[in-house]
Parts: sequence; C-alpha cells; structure tokens
Amino acid sequence: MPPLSESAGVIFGWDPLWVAGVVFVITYAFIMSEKINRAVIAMLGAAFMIFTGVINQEGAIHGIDWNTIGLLTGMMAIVAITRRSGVFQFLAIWSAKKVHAKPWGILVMLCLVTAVLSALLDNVTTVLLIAPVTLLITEELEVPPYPFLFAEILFSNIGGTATLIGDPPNILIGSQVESITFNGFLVHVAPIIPLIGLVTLLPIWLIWGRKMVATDEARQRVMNFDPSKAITDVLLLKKSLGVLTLVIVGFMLSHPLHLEPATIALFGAALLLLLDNMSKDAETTSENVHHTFGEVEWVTIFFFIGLFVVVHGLEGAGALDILAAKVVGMTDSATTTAEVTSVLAMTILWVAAVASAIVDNIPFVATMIPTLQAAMEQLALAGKALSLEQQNTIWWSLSLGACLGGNGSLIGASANLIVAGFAERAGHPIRFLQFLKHGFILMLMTVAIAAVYVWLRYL
Amino acid sequence: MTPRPVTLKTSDTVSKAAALLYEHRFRSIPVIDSDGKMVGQFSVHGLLGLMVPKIATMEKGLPRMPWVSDHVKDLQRRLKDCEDQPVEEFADKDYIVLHPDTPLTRTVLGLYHSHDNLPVIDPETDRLVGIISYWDVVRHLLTEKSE
Repeated sequence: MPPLSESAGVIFGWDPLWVAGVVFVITYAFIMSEKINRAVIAMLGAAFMIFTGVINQEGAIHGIDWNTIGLLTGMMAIVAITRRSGVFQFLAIWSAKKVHAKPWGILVMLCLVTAVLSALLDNVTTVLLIAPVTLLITEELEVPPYPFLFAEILFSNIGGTATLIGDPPNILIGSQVESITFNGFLVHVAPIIPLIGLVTLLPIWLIWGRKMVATDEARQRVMNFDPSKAITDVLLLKKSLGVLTLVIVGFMLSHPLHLEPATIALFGAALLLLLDNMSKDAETTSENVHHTFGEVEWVTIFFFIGLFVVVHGLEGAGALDILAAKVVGMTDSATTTAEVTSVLAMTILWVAAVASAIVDNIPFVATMIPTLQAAMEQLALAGKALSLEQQNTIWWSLSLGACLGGNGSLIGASANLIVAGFAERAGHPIRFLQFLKHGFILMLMTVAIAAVYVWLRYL
Repeated sequence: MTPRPVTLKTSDTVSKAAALLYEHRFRSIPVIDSDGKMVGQFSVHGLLGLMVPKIATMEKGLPRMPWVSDHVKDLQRRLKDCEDQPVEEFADKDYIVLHPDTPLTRTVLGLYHSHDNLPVIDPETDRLVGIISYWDVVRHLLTEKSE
C-alpha cells in the first residue's frame, strides 16, 4: 500500500475504496469497449485517480513501473533501427524458399520464424513484420491467407510466452516481481513452448494444412524471390544484430551484474543509435534519431503509464487487499503450503487464460501482480508462507495463462488485432466468431498442456 | 465544366475501364450507379496498383519489394486476374467533390490538391452533373478579363 503522503484525501470525504473502484471499473470498461484509444482512456483514468484525491501526483509517479517502460521503449527503438536493414523480410522469404515454396511447409516455417522473433521482440512488432510478407507469399501462391495469419497469431503469442521480453504480461511479471529473472523464464517457461507449438500445428494441419495445394507455376513465383535483395543495408544489419545479441546476453547476465532489463535495453538502444549515426553529419543524425524515436509505439507506452497509475490508485485505496483476501479464501481448505500452491497455481493459470481471451491480458496482469503479492503477504501472516520456489510457480502459471490465453479470441492480444487489421485491408477479413471457433479450443488445449507441465514439474 | 462526362457503370469491368482511361488519356473516370449517383472513381493509379502485389499498395504494407521477380508477364497476370471483375470493387471512394455553387478559389484548391479533374455533384440528389478539369479553370482565368 502506498504511504499516506501519496494521498491528499478523497474529495467530499467519499470512501477512497469506492471512488478508486469506480474509476478503475469505468477505465477498464472503456478499454474493453475499444471505442476510444486505450492510451487516452488509461491516461484519463490516471488523471481521475488524482483529481478525486485517491492518490496525489507524487504517488502516481511512484506507481509507474519505469523498468517496464524503459524495457519497452529501448526494445522498440532497437527494432525500429534493425528493421530498416530488411533482415526480418529476409528471414521470412528465406524460410519460404527452404521448404521449396510448398504451402504447408511455408506455414510451418513462418510460424517458427514468428515464434522465435516473438520470443526476442514484442509480438506486435513481430506480426507487423511478418504479416505483410505472408500476404505477399499467399497472393503469389494463390492460396487463402487465413490459415497462415491464424497460425501466426497463435505462434506470436506462444513464442512470446517463452521469454521475459516476449510478451507484455511477462515484461510486467519480470519487472515487478523481484525473484523473476530473464533466465528464470528460459529455465521454467521456455522448455514447454516447443511442445505447445508442435501440438498446436496438428489441428491446423488437420483443418487446413492437408488440403493446401499450390500450382507449380505459383510455387515457382515464390522460388524466384531473391531474399538477398531484402537486405538493404549490410553494415546496419551487422551493427543491429551485434547490438541485439549484446542485449540478449545482457538480459541473461542481468542478475549477476545487478542490472535491470530497462538499463540493458536502453543502453542497447543508445549504442545502436550511436553506431547507426557514426560518420553522419549533425543534421542527418538529428533527423535519424528523431525518426527512430518516432517509431516507438508511444500509444503502448502511455497506455502502460496510465494503467500503472490506475492500478496503484486501486492498490492504495485497499481494493487489491480485499481481492487478495478472496484469493487467499480459495485456499482455506488447503492445509499445507504445497496444497496452497497447487490450488493457486491451477486457478490462476485457468482464470488468467480465460480472462485474457475475453479482455486484454495487459490490464489483467497489471492488476493481478499486486493482488497476488498482497495475497502472498496475507498467507504469510496466516502462517502459510510460500517458499520462493512456490511463489515463482504461481508467477509461471500467471505468465503461461495470460500469454497463451491471448490466443482465445481475436481481442485476446494486441498482435491478434494487428493481423486482423492487415487482413481486412488486404480484402481477407478475419471475423471474430471465425477466429473464436478454432482459437478458443486451441487455446484451451495449449493451457491444458501448460497445466500438466506445471503440475508435473512443480506441484 | 464538362456536362455529361464519360462515366463508368458499377457493373462495368476493369478491362473496359482500362480501355476508356487509355483511349481518353484520363487520370480518372467517375463510377456511377443505376440512379446516376456517383459511388467512386476509377483512376489510372488504381489501374497501376492492380499490376503489383496488393500488399505493395497497402498502408504499412511493403512499399519496396526488391526481392520479387521483375517480369512483364507477372504484371500482366495480376492485371488479367481482375480484368473481368466489376470496376466498383476497385473504385476509389475517397475523392474531392464540388457542388455547382462551390466558390472558384475552393475549386482551384481542390484541383491543386487532387492533381486531377473533379466531379461536380448535385448536393440534393448526389447525382453527377459534370466534371471540372484544370484546363477548364486555366482557360477561364486566362480568357476572362479582370474588371
């Protein structure tokens, strides 16, 4: 709970719990309705938390997780420069040719590329890079793009689950929970991802893959693509991949080096900006840097900032303690901490998955993290203190549920909507119910695999 | 203004539209429905766009695709694939319109921004009543003596 100095007192002497609750619910309702830009809503929600006196500005700033903000901004700047080299298009085209332009082979390869890139970059960036190339390939192959785009949505969320930087829920968990590290995700979450990916491909093959055909002429058109021409700047490619590698290694070593991910990502961004502008005159450098910062998705950044303030207001008003008490209440029948962990891990995994399919997983996880932290404190006070490993099991469950749950519907994750937008503009709209029909069942299947994994490994 | 300009019906094919554009060297031709209401315009830029992969002309698509093969038969194939389709599907719906009483300065600005001739629409019926070309305006301004 924020210190008392963070609040100037709620207007008209109203109950802070109710005021914060109303502001929170209205903010989230508008975010879910998607009628108004989500960053605008989150910022307005944050402002109302302050205007109503739930928190003051100092408290609001204290509530913002700058590690998440720095990590997101740094990675976005790195990707904005790296993409100019054409490396992502090269990868997509190269992989399509590796399988001799056979439609099913291309689908599998594009899924693999999407998953790997999503693990290293954020999902939205990945699909922004892969979806256009996919539409080009399917047009030239004269095959329907839907199965390809559907599979890429799934694999962007599956791949993103594997690392701390892959998906916003993981960034939030990694940033706000002290015991969770980059390597922790690699050791505890990533191992199940290949199996989840493999199992996901099976129904996609049964529904679409086995019927996919392309004429020899159409395949030849794709085989005529020259991926080497996609690389527009070899020097920039070398600099970008060098810095990206350095940043990934930095994330792996962040714990022993006592560095936060935001420091590493922002250092990487600054280094790449320096390398990209070496031997350029001052005016060009200024334009270049301006352009790179212009490509940072500020809507996402300000959405996070607003959201952090709204959640912090709710936390300060004591609402999350009440929610945490409900969570603790679920474990009343559990007598040992192992049983408590089992109940919590399984409940959170499934609730996070279903909730993330219905609402955006970012606000959900942003609220769940302080709630679960409060629940763990309450459990400790009740003599059921969870060990660090048991606590981490709950965080892995939240990550797996929230990230994989994003596949449950078209609105489950931001990347899904980005692909749907592309598809619509290309004249192949992805309908909400059409996606839901396959996506929700596939999501349940992947979460079931994750549940078995968590159960066998930790419970 | 040119009354009764060359127009396309919504059901006319892309190949007919292409032939008309080429024959008259127009930049665009209005597309009208059975009631004479303008529903869009088919332009030579739209025609060029049909010769390249769709993603190349899409917002946030792939404006440069140096890796794609550069054969004339590929451009012809893409155009051929849509030559029998109704022109309405490819008509541009975002265009500047004038009304019979639109002031001259706004007309000139419209022509300046659109780089094209502009349709004149009856605001009450939405029917196309004519076309104003930049030559119409230039001719009018050069020959009209100032008072």
